[in-house]
Amino acid sequence: MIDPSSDESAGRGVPVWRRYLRLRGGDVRADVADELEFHIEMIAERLIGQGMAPDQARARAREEFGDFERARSLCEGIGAEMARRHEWAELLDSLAKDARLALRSLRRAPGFAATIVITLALGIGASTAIFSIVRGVLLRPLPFAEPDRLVRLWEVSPRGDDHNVVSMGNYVSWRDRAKTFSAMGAHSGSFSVTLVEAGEPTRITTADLTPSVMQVLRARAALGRTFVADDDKGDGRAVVLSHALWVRRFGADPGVVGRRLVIDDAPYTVLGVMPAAFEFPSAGVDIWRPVTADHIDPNERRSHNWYVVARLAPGATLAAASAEMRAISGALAREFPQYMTGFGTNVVGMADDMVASVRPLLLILLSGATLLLVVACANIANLLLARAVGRRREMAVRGALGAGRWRLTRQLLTESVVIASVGGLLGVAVAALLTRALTMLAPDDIPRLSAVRVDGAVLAYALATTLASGLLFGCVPVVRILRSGRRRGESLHLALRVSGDRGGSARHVGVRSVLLVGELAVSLILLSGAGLLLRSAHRLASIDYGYRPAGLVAASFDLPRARYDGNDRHVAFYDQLMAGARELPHVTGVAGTTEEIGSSSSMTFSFAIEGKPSRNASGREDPQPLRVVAGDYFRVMGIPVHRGRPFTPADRADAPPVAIVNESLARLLWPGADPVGSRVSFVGPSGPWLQVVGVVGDTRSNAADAAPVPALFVPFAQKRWPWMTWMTLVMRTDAMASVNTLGSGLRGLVRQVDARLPVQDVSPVPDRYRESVGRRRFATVLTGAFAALALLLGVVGMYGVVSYGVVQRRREFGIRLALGARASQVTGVVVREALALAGIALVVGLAAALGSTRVLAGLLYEVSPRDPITFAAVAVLVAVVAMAAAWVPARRATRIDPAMTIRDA
Amino acid sequence: MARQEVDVLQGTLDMLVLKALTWDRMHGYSILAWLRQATDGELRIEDAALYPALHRMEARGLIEAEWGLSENNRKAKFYRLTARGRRELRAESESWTRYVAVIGKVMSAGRAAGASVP
Repeated sequence: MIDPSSDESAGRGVPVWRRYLRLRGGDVRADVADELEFHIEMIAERLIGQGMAPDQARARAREEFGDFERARSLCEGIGAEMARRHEWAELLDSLAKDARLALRSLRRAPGFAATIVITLALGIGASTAIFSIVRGVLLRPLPFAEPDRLVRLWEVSPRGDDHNVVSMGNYVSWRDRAKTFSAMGAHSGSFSVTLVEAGEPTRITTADLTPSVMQVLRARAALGRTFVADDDKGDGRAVVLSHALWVRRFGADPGVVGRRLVIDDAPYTVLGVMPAAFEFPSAGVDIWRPVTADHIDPNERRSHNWYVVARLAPGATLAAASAEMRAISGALAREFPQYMTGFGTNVVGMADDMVASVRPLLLILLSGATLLLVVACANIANLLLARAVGRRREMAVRGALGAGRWRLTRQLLTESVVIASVGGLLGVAVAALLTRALTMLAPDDIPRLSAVRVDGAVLAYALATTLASGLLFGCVPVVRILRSGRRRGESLHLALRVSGDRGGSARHVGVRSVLLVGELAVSLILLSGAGLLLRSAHRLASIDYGYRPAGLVAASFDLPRARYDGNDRHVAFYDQLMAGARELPHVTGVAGTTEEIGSSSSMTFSFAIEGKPSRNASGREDPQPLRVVAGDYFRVMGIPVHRGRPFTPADRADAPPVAIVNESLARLLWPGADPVGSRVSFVGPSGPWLQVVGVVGDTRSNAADAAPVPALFVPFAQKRWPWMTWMTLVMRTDAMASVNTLGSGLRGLVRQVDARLPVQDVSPVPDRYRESVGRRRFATVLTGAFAALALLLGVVGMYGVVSYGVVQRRREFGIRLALGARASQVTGVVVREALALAGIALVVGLAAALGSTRVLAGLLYEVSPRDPITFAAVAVLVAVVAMAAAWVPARRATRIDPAMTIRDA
Repeated sequence: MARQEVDVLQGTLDMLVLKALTWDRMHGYSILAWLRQATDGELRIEDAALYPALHRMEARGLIEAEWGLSENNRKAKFYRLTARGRRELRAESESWTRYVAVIGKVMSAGRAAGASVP
């Protein structure tokens, strides 16, 4: 750009007219001054001609001229503007010319152009798609007012779990005592209830929340109203609908407000409908119900099952809130030592809290996609280099015809950016498709996937990567051509005369080899990551669950408490259901359990052991997972009974209470002793007692990748908790069973007993583990795809470099063959050199991979991030593939006709 | 100098400059000199006001400039009409002529002409 205030050229003593000869865009400021001064001189000359003294005439002329400074500044302004417009026009014009040139030369080489564009489209598409997920999940602000002021509050349990759910008593104390929050609310996790509409029951998902949660979130209803503070005084028979449910079940009827619904056999009134963007506490919640004051027991500090959200008060910081909460939990521990000893609090920003667990996964995938893009760029740079050789003459001619170095550089870079733009455009299309595919493939437990879309930020990212890659791979041939120009003293005749490519080819091969080594090394990093993840997936697949999940089918039930109050009725219902299920075809065994198979949530209870003093004030041990099971549970599941006996039908409600422990619990609480025969109590050290009658094997029924947890089993028939209304039915089936017929059989059974009760989630038990391995599978599939693509590009790169080398040296090979070298010797030379390159790539890549696979540690299952077997396998794979890619062009070297090549030169 | 000078109307200066450049290229001083001569000095144009007008017209592509030697052998910036400037001049002078004619008609209209209005 021209700087109008610059006096540089005048300072160098260039005459005015020379400046102007430089086609416009001269020194605007000096030109204006010259022009105006000339006018004044002319006036002065006239005055002198009329007889005035020269000095006087000059002063008079200036006066007569008028406002010199104003005229000058106006003219300079216009001039500068003109110069600017001119510069732009010229730049755009030449860019357009370069772009046309580039397109024309690409059309001349369609195969070449297609290879580059497709390579780039895949690279940019993959990284943009991953970025769109990163953007939606990690970067986009939560859809609430001032989302950065929202926090989640957790208890820190004595065992160190810093995301312990909160007891109602603690919530009330926190709410009443804390000053650093402007509002605080508690809510349940989401769970299913039955909505009966027009006589048809469906399962929907609810979250129960204190009305204050809506104040914390500053949420407004799209229709009707949401909860207000006074709603906690009512009977709680009110619901707010999600937008999705409103559309799905009520046809977006605006008259839905005020309508009465039946949920779990109780009547509710619809207060309003939330906007579509409102998702809380997670996606997929259909209704929200208020937790009323009646249900808030400020003295309940034993049972921890509430989630707490709060909004920071104006001016309060997260640190201040944490400090205050620390003081409050200290005070609570002193006031309620039997419950609160060892408990702390944890205050986390809500967005952080939501996505903290997926951030590493997404960043790993983003790095993987970026590495793939880097490989793609290196490959493209290599292809461009090969072409640059053919164009050295073109460049020399253009240089000789007066195109400056900057002009040539710009032309080459424009070409690269044009290629990149076509690739980028295609890449955005690829990204749009991939983004949709990825959000469907992604595991359900990745939060905020609904916020993922290709938006402005994503397009900006695609544009930025496009330009960056264009400049990146464009620089290589530029440097190459400019350097070769300088070395040859830009001698046209030389470039024109040399028909082959001899001088400088060694160095040329060098640049390409460096690129190839880099490319293979980066592929190796990706392959190592993918290899580790695959190995870990294999480990997971061959895991010992401690029981036999294959052939088990599960179905979930939950009895509405309004119609099924009391343990007797639960037991009666499930006994009848299990008896019916045993008669279904292909079913060989039926049992029930209260645990959610494949889910990491578990119900924990604390209990006392007879004669064993506890260090806890309550006299009971730390809470342990409890499984309440029915039927021939251990046999049906395939869990071995190590000592004692399993439950039998004789363990009825009126029989002496019994319990069974698993190996882990036995080791934990009865170290070195046999638990069978000892007694435990859920109440305290003075009973009532349950007799431990057996020890069973450990199972991984929570999550495939989690270590077995301790567990205490009690028979469903002897359960003493009337709120425990749910059960997962597990059926052992033979090979002929189908989940669908089993499901309809179950539904038929249930209809006979209770027509209003839905059957949920009939699915093979192995499927229930999908979620716990979902993230790994997602990472494995994607990293595997990136690695496969990178390897493919590496093969193309190796093939290209070796072919090029063979062409460069065909004279040498021709002579060798003419002198009697055997074909295998020539092939050997080529392949050995290729292997040397691959070897360097292996060393560099393995070193880099060893240093970087540590980031995968969280995703690996029983595989070290430096697993030697994986690294060895990957190294062998790369070496073999590289050799194969070199072999084909190497064979070609042996078919060179010596006479022909020597004559050609 | 008893004669009354007339201020040049806003916007007409451009037209006059275009007119001045009809036959030959000129530098700023000679444009002004020609205009003064052509109007017998009855038109008042401030010298300093000419140049922004010239530069604006150059930016609009009506005239183009080049450096050359003046009659007294000095470097001077000469302006000449472009094809576009010539078209502009034609259009301007046509509309000016019509404008003058219409206004002139009104100003010289007698009472009789107006009486025919019912």
